[in-house]
Amino acid sequence: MCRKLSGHSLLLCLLIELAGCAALTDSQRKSVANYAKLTQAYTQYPSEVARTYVALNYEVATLLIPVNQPVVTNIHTDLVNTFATFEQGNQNSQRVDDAINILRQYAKALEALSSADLPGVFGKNAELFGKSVDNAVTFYNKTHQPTTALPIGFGKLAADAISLAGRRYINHKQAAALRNYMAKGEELIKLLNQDSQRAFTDLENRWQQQKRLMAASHTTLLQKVHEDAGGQAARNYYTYQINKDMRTLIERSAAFDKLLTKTAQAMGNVYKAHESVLKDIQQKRPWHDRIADVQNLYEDLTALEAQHEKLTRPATH
Amino acid sequence: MTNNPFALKARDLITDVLIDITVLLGSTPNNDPNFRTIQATQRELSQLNFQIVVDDINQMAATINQHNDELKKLTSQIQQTTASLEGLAKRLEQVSKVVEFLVSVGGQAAALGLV
Repeated sequence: MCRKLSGHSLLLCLLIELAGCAALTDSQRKSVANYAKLTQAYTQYPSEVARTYVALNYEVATLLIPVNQPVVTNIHTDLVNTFATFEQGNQNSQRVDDAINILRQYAKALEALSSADLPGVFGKNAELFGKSVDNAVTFYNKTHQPTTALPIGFGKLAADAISLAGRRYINHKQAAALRNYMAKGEELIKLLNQDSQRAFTDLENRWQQQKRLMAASHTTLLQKVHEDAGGQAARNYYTYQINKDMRTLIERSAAFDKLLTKTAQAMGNVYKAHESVLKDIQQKRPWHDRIADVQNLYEDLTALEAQHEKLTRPATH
Repeated sequence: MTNNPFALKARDLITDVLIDITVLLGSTPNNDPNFRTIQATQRELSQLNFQIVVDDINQMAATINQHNDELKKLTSQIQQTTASLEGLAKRLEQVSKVVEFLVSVGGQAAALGLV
């Protein structure tokens, strides 16, 4: 095939041969980019879990203050003190955010590396060079006025070919870089997942206990209202108010249950998906895919050659 | 923060005791001589329990944080690779100049009927 091409095309052939067959397919590249985007989207949830956990527990902790603080004038101080602990909890949930932020950065870097625009800088320059060749041709025609004028657009064609070769070459390097780093990242994401699962399990266990405490506090509140409130009407009123508040708290607890379960599950999927994407990009492509690539390359070059023929031997009428 | 299993066990024990005390407080009449004592214990334990909740979040952050340094290194390596790929694009741009020259010469040669 290369023999049929003229001298300068040999260099193009060489460049394309250098590219090899290890470049990523578009779907492989997309799977990495999608994975990176999804992981970034995931990273907001662990800190959301932490914040909600502290907020719900703050309410559980303040639930019994009116009952367990015998001095009414000290209730305010108790609430202020508990709120200080709540604020401390919020700072700690910021720490979770900072911790998970690294995963976000890893995903961002991965997204950058999987970008299809990476060879864009080169492509743009190739087009500029194409234009400059055209300018040179125009200048040549004008200055030397050859019997057969050199056709314009020759340079752009060459630039397209160079861009094509360059893109394939970069794709090859990009594929190697992605494979190496995702392979290294694999072990870390695996350990991060294990650690996170342990942290989520701890939180889940504590949360189950806190729910028991919430139930016990609810009962205690009702008992005390029943005991202290003078008259049936007052008892009914306070019972209704307590139950109404508890209902809201229970609804939020149920929502938090789901959030906690889903966040832990999603972290597991962050790892699983990483594993799958890595496997996908490590896969040697099936033979028919190789054929398709070679076929594409062949068609690209055939088209280029046909164009080249037209340009170097313009039809003479 | 610690992953010490004894600390975790003690932490859970405190919550269990708090739950029992809360139940006891509810069933103790206000005029019972022990009521005030139970009330005070419940208050102290409740504060302690909430502090434990806050520590839990810290614990969670510490656990997730464990592999941060390695991920940081990896991230920076990925960024370096991206930079070096951009460098590669620049080198290919230089190659394109050579090809451009060859194309130009080839075009001129064709025009002169040499090819």
